Amino acid sequence: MRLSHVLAGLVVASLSSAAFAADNYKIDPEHSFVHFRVNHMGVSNTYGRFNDPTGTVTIDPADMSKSSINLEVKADNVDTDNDKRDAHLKNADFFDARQFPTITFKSTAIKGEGDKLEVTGDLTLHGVTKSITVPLTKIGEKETGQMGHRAGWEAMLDLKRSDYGMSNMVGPVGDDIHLVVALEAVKS
Amino acid sequence: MPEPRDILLWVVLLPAAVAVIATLVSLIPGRRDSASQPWGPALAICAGFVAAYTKLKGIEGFPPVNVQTWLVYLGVPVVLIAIIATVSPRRARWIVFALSVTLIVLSVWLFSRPLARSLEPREFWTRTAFFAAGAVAWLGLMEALASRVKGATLPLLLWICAVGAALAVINAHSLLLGQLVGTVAAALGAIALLGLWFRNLTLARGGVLALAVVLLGLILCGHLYADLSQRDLILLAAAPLMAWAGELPFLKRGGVRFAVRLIAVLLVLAIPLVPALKGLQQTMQEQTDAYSY
Repeated sequence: MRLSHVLAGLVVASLSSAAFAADNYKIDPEHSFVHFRVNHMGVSNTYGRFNDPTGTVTIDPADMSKSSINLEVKADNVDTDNDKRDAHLKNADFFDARQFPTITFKSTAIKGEGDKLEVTGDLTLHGVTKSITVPLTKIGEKETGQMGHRAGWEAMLDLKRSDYGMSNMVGPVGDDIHLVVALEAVKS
Repeated sequence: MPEPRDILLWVVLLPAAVAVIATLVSLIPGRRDSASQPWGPALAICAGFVAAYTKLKGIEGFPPVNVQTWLVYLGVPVVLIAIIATVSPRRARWIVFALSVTLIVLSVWLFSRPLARSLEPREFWTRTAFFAAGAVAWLGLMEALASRVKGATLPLLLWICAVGAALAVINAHSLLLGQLVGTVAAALGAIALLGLWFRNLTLARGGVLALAVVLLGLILCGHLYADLSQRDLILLAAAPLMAWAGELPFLKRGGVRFAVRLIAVLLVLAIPLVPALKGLQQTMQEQTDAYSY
């Protein structure tokens, strides 16, 4: 075999692998949000968020089984714009942040194509891990110049905090939690 | 906030009722000069706590994910050690003490264990050793006091301390842990009431161990997993030890000795309790304002 044929083969192979390589993203904590809503005393909804979520997103359009999402928030980063309430939420009555410092989501399977995905993964909250499935919508993707190549996704889900051992004060503080997860990530 | 009726039922009446039954059974045949068996007050405190915990929080499987649930399981070896203390001869008491010390060290390690992830190993082990040594010293001193002081005196003083600790822990941003301390206070209150009639009722060789594990364990959790300061942790643990003041040799009359014990306990307890009461009052005030959460 001629050397030129070998080189040509290598070029084609590298180009094709580049075309089908997975896109790896790092979550931008400043432009990503994990918001929650919980009922208060049956009369209103209280909203809060976990500041500075971190993690990675890997999307392989050619083989979705190679795609993954790993998200982590610190329980100590809970923020409801009220210091006393936040202190109460961080302690043993609710998130118990010193005993269970992180809340994580690690995907185990991603289905779908284009902008609509269905992500199944293990959510670990308050030391309890449960498998959940979440619809994930891609909001957009763009080469932004100085801020790099970015993509964004959003998911909404509902869960019961008592399923994760957070059963204290169920009643005055609702059991049903509505979560909005909005991620912006930079391609690496 | 939980309903006051629920607090009365599950934090006060349930553990108190369980404690009354367990203590009364240990006092059979029930004469006024009967001495309680060591397992009685131990079972009273542990069973009262477990009953209330089951209602307030629910019990996870074994091993528990949440360290506070260990308090429920630790009640079993506490009662077993108290039973050993009941049946073993006097010369074998060192075995009971050795088992008690082992259980206390194990319980402190279990409560502290999750912090090993976030602390440097040296800091983690130093802190754990400090808390374990403190709890063992507390056990030794309270055990010696309990063998000298019988009847209602010690349970009453411990009840005051437990009520104070419950309020301090609630002010440290954990209503749940505060309520759980309250369940121990309720059991102690019931034992104290029985002690008014049964003059030889004793917390020695069982009740004190239960308190070292459950009461001190809850206060320690208040420090580790809520916002109870280390100073307040030490003061709340030290307050019952002030009852030793009544053992001063020149104090002869029973009433004077009790008054001295009470004053000494209250003086130490007041240091964490007064700011806690002010904090709770402020929180209650805010609860009625629109600003409150």
